[in-house]
Amino acid sequence: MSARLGRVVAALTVAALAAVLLGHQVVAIAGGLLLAFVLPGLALIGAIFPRRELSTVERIVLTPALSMGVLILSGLAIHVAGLPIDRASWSVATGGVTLVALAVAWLAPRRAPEPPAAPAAPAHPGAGGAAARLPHGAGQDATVVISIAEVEEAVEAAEQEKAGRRRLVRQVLPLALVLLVLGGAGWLSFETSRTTHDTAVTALWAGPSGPVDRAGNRTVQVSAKGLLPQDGPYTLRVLSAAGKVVLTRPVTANADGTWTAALRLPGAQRMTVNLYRAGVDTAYRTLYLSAVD
Amino acid sequence: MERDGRPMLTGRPSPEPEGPGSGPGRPETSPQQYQSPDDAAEAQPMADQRSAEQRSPEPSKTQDGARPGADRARPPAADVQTTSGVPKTTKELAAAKAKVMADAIAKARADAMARAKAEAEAKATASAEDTVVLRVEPASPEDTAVLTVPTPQPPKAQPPKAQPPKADDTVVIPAFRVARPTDVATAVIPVVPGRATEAPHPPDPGRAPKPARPRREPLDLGHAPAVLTISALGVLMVALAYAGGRVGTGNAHLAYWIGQVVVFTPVVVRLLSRRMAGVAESFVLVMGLALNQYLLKWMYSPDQFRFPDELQHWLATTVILESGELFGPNPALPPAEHFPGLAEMGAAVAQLTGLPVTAAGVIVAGVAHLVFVGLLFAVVLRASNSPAVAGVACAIYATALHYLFFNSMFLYQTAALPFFMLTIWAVRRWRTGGGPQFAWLAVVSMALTTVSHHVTAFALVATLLLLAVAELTTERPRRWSALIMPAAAVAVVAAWILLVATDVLGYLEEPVDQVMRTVSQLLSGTSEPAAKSAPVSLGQLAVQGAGLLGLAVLYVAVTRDMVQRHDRDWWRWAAVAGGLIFFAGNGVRFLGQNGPEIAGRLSTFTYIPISILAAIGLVRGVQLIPARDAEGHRWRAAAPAIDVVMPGGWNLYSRVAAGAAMITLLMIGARAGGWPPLASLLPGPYLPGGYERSVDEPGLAAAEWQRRVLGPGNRVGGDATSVSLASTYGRQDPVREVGPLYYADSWGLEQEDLVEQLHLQYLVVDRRLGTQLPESGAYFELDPRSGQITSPLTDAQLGKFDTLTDVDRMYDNGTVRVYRMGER
Repeated sequence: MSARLGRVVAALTVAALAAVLLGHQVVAIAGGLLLAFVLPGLALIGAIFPRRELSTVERIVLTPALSMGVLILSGLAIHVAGLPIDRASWSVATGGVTLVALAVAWLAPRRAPEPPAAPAAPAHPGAGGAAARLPHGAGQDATVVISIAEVEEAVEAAEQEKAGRRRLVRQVLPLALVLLVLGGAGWLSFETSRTTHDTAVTALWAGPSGPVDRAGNRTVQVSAKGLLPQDGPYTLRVLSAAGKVVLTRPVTANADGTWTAALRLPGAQRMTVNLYRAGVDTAYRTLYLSAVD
Repeated sequence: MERDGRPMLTGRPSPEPEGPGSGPGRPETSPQQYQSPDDAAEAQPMADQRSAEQRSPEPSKTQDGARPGADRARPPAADVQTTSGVPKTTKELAAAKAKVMADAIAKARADAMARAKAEAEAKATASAEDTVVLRVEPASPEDTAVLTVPTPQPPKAQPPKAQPPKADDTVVIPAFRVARPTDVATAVIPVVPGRATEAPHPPDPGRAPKPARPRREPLDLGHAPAVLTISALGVLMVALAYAGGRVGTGNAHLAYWIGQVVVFTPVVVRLLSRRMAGVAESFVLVMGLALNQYLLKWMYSPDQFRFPDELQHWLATTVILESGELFGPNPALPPAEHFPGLAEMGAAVAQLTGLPVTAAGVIVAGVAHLVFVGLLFAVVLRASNSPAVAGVACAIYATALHYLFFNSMFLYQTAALPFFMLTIWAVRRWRTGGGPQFAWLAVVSMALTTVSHHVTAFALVATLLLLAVAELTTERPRRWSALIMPAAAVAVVAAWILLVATDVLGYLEEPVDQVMRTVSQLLSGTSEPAAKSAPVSLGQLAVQGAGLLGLAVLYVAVTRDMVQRHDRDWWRWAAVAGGLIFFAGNGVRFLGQNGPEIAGRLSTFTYIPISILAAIGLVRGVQLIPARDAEGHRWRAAAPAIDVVMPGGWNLYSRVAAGAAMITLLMIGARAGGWPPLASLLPGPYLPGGYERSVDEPGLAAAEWQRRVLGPGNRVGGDATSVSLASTYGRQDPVREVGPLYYADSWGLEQEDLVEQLHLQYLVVDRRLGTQLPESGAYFELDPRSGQITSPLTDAQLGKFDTLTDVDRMYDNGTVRVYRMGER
């Protein structure tokens, strides 16, 4: 890892830590994702493979892989240490690993210096002053050193710039279009799924029956949720085991569509609790409450 | 090759075996390979990798010590191999290049000598054709070329400037850069006329040297952006199909299949076209395809997890967030408590970003999936040194049965797979001369795999063992150090299971028993009454069978080619063995109720080697039926085809078309026979026993009520979906054996006993169980009538609980009802 990249990673780590611990939600998302999937792995690659043993593809895939490994091992370490697993501990763990790995990578060249450069062979006259080094044991006597002739530059700077622009357009624009299309597809799916599943559910339920009092009654908390204004006013009727209505109560829903009431019901009978919508004689929701011994 | 800190090429002919790929039948790299612009594209990554390797020399494994100075003249054994069994280490790549030049010089020399002889008779002087024009890419890391020219017999008349023949006729061409990078640097080398001993073939005077393909710019993505744009349009089409499925639009299925093909096939065609820019384009195509396909999975249920296993891991993550501790109880999936890798990552992302667990889980699963695919690409690229083979192997692997869902869902296997592949990659690098850091990384990756998923850990042990056995079988002399990594994996997995995850053996006992029962049934030809497989359409069978047949043909062709070439590459032989296991596993796929499940789970791992072999066969154009040799033998001594550059023109187009068609067929078969089931490929309204299709607002509301009103930990039974929701969102203790309570037409002592035996406290009854047959063939997780249900549950069966005087109906939302069964 170059010193410049190391400094960038260190600065990003500090910024990500600040974003996670102090920042707004949007900033925290960016910082958290960097700490979770990028920065620890990037720093560890520099520490473990200081001599560029990896190809570009390997560096790309190892960065998130090692970062995820850091998450798992950090979690285990936090647990073993008896510390709570929370935002602060994750931040310290991921940020700490990153900074320590950066320090190791920074020290690595001092621990293992690069091998000294090989001695240069005599410069070839036609080599433009560059040194040609001969291999050892190559049979000097039978060796003819032939320099590669210099050729004229085929591409002018302007053409290079033009080609660069063309390449940029050719590659970046389609990729931007890809992101746009994928974003649109994702939004479409999310919205249709949310809207089709986001249906109101009207539920009626009862809590456990309380003890039977001296009058032979018990108290039951009956509640409802998802009451719709267009279906109201609702009515609650409680029937005995014989089918006789023992209680009728209008149900006035709160603004959030909920309703609850404590009902005193006979304890020795199995009761039926029906919820009716306005103008409908068929019970909309029904509960059965068995007798209390 | 590197010498004195400067890379160089060497063309010394080496009579000794130079590695595992060498042998009597070893093909020599033909000069045509380097004249092909396509191979130039493939050769570039070799140079890129080589340059990286050369900066950090790895210990050499070369056994060439016979020739003095050979060791010094050769580079360390780099981890670059061809698909031919000939390890294209730096030295050999350089040797191949140099050999081409040497051959050219030799030919030219022979030609010149013959011509000189003729001209001498005519008393003419040497002509200007006594030269060879070498074109060397100046940006190539090999700045020096050492050319070994076959020593000619002493000529009758020595040329005036000829060196006296000594022990070595080596021409060293230092090709250090002397100017700014240009497309082509030209060296004009005068060839000294002399007497030719064996002029192989006179050069074609009418054929000009074919210019090498211009070097691409760094990060040149070739046509990948355009191809991915088309693929993204396929994603959009599938999104429209999903939207149509949710609202019941017609032709949504047609749009789905067209979208799947548009997502997949253009990428495959491009990968097979062999005109890619190099690693960058192939890698971007593969990762783009993986991302697009992951989006297909996510878009099925984008707003929340609905698949039962995902909900179980959602709960595991939520438990960590709530308790701040690992290894907390997870009643929905008790074994997951001791494999917390996925939940840890989910909790970390949720807490670091502040996102909800569902969003964090989608991100974690997506990143893990992409990393897994990326590592698979890196492993195959290392093993084949061909971005085309690596890309096609990943594309073929994307047709695995479980690739699109089980291997990319928020499941602990998804978390373990990248570390599985990371271990394989690190072991590969270590065994091919990488430093000790690769070995340590492999061990750490083993540990990460083990703490993430049990079955993947077992598969890792088996894979490492297979690789070690293959290496010990093929490599000479044997390196017993190959057993270190399997032993380490066994130790790590055993330690975790014996010390931490002690309950996993009991958990895996039932699936293992199922496998044994299935195998036993296959062998004995019997089947259990309740083990009837769900009906599979003939069309589906035909598509899947045709795809498998294509894989089998490629497998046989590549294996035949390897046998004929006396291939010594242990990675490929391990892949051959893994391929055999794949086909054996697929035999189970078509038989028995558990067949698809077992085959799918096996294919997660066994599909890797078969994908690699099939990719080699497709990219390298391995001959399915070899041509006859000079003696008329077709099978005995067919020319080794694996290293022959695929021809262009119509042959190329037909091969690309056939390969793309086969892989597309595999993809269609995987989507049809994988997950979700064919009848619920699209999201839509509620289906009984339909897994994701069974999760909707009434069920969720009932589960939420259980958590809020009943409190956690009650024994709650119900159909498969109700139990899943109760154990996750509801935080209840699931009871899965309640099927007989539903199937009973009346309530009696038997049902009372079962309630008591199961310690059942609450029962969830979804009235919609009486409207349709179960999509999966079973209403309940442990359904006694699985696969045999011919009619939906009746109103009497579902309504009998209302008539029980001691049973309370405590919750009713019109669709889902909750009964209190036990004591108050």
